[in-house]
Amino acid sequence: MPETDSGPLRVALAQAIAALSGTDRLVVVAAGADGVVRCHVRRDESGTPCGYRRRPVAWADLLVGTEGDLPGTTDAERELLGVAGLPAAGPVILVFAPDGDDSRADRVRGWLRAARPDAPVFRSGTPIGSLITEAIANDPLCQPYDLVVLRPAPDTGRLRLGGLRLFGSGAKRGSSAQVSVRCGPDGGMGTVFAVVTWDGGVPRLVVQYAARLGPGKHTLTARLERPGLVRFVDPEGFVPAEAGWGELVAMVPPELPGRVDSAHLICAVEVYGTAAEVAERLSRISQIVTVAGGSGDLQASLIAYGPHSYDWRTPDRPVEVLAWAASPAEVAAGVDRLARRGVPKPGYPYHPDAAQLEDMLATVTGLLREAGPGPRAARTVLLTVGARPPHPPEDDPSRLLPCPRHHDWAGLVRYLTQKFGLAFAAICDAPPEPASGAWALLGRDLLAQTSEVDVRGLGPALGLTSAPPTPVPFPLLDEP
Amino acid sequence: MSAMSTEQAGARPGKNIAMWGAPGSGKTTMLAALGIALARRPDWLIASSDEASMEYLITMTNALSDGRAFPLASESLESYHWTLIGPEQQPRSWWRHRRGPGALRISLSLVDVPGGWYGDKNPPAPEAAKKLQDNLAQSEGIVFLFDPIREFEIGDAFEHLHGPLTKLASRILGGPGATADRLPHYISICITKFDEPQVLDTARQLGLLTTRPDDPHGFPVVRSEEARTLLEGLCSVSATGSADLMLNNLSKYFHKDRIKFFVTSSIGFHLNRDTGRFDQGNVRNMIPTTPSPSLGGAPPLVSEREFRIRGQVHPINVVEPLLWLGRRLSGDRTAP
Repeated sequence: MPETDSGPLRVALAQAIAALSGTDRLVVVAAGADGVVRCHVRRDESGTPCGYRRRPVAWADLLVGTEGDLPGTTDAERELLGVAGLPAAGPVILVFAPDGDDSRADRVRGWLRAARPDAPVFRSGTPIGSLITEAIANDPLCQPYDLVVLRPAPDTGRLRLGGLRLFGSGAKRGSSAQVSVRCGPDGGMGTVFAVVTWDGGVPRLVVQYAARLGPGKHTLTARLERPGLVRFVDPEGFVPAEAGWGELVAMVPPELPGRVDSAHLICAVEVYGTAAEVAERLSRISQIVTVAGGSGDLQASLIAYGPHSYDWRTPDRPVEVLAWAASPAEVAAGVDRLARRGVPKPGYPYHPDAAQLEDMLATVTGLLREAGPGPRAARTVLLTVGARPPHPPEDDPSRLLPCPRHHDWAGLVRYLTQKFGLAFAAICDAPPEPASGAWALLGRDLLAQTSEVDVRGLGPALGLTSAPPTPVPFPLLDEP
Repeated sequence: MSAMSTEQAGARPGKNIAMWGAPGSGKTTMLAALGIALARRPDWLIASSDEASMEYLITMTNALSDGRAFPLASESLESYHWTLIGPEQQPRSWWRHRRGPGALRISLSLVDVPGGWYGDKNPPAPEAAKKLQDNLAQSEGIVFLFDPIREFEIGDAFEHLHGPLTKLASRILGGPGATADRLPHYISICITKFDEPQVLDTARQLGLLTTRPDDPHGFPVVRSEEARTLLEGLCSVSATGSADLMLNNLSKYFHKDRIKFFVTSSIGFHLNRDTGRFDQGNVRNMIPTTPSPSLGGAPPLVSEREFRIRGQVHPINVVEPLLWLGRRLSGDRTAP
């Protein structure tokens, strides 16, 4: 007799789905008081089981359900088997729900069993759709799920498409995985995180997201929601990507652009002025770090400086180091934090015409000294983005009040050059011509205007990259 | 313009002293700093002779000390009356009397007018011009303010001296029956804005700086005997090159022994709060209130900007020119 408990049916469905391979198809026909429904399950090209259900057919629409004048049995049987669509071979499961019409139920069961006498029969009141969905969700992976990555060759930087294992065969729903990758420049489109299975070296897409994580290293946490559905739960910001696979692959550059052994880009930004001025400076830094960050092994730092207070009742705001020798992504996060803050209004008690540039230089000097004689980046660039000149160490003809700590900005620039070989770039709110005074020295290697700066050209110009970086659509995985 | 009269309190009226200087030379600020300057001295104190003068004194002193704000320049003629009360001193003379035994009193009657009235560009209405000339003619003492920064930037000190001085000389020396060859006034010539680094550096380069041994802050000073040397040095960098004419005219029109030079600053030098000492690399005691129109470019003219005071006010030679005039006008030849 057929089972009435759904437990055995669940087991049978799970086993039948797990046994599916290739083009196999599991057919499930369920009959009950409302009529008959046909479902089938098969695996897609990535091996993910997919369930399909036809529209249920009510008894009233079938000859077998017509009361009274019952036509020939042969016609009713043929019609029912047509709805059931039982294949001659392959796995079939028959499910019967309690039906108030025992006579009809017996006839239908008889016809279906006659058609596939090998098919197991179950009695269950649970909707078959939900049972199949549940069985599919609980199906362990039959193929590994990999994250598509680009592996740069250590010697040439040539990029090779590959996979980074997220979930192996047998992984079940609820499993999670953590992987570390590096994002390159994304051209503003975001990096594509594609989860695939492999079929003879050909990737079969399972799911695909895009996220703007920013250039640099990132640790991702992925969770297997069910076969065919992987979500990235950390960090935030993953959205379904619609780009076509062929289009994405075509975007992969042959090699990492402008690879540089190592570089340290120290971004110093003046957070003083109007909100619009500060926002534009921060935006430039964000762009520059994003573009330059995808190339080579870039360390980045972010330092914010503002005005000196010249009224003892208003404490001086110290220079703030938001990130030091960190990833471009951390700098980008620091930029976001700064962007959410207010800026002091120019004017008393702050000096309206100068900023703590000299304190910033002293801070950079201190941090580089603290780093000691260990390995340093092959190239370190101080990029200053602001408007106001530094305070002089003492009263001078500029009529700017001297730095309260008497820091000598020119002396510090000399020291940083001689001791640490720093390159100096500056982006100034005002036009760079004629360059004079502090900004000429702070922009000795590159001086541009905030609204005119060539963000893509800046990296190569400063030796951070050798060519303008092109977008890298997939995350990078550096060889250990 | 500000005028002051000296008198023996409760006795006969004193003699007027006029204040003279170009716009922005610091006449009003000097008056505003008077209360603080006296408060920092152990000997003299100030009292108001009427309610309006008292209010002005309190308001100006508070604005300068707590509000760190410079007083607004005079836009019309205003009168104030204050009394300086000094230490006991012997022997008594006509302009002193006892406040208790030996206390000295100087009553000041001040008339403040815009400095522009002295020049050609914004001359006052005829009635005000007459009042200005009358006041100068009736004064026996003058406090003349020379602003070296304005002279370096604009160079109009001579313009603001020459016209009124010529009219004054014509009235006194050229009138019917006149026989004198010099104006009878005593004149304190004040070189203002000593707190500006350019002025201080000039004094340093000329070797004129010294400090008072009893000054706990170590502020630099230029002795009155050497103030003229500083003025000559500053006149050599006048924007129009006419500052030496100003000095020549002052020397020609007034008796040599009735001229005294002072190097002054109404707000004084910045005092380092950590050390309590003068910091020779950080002397400026005022800060601009609004951004320069050309950040990082050529520094804008001081005379065209607005400032606030940065720290404590330590006036330099604000009281001394008035006291010297008061003493000389009293006939006290022992006054230094």
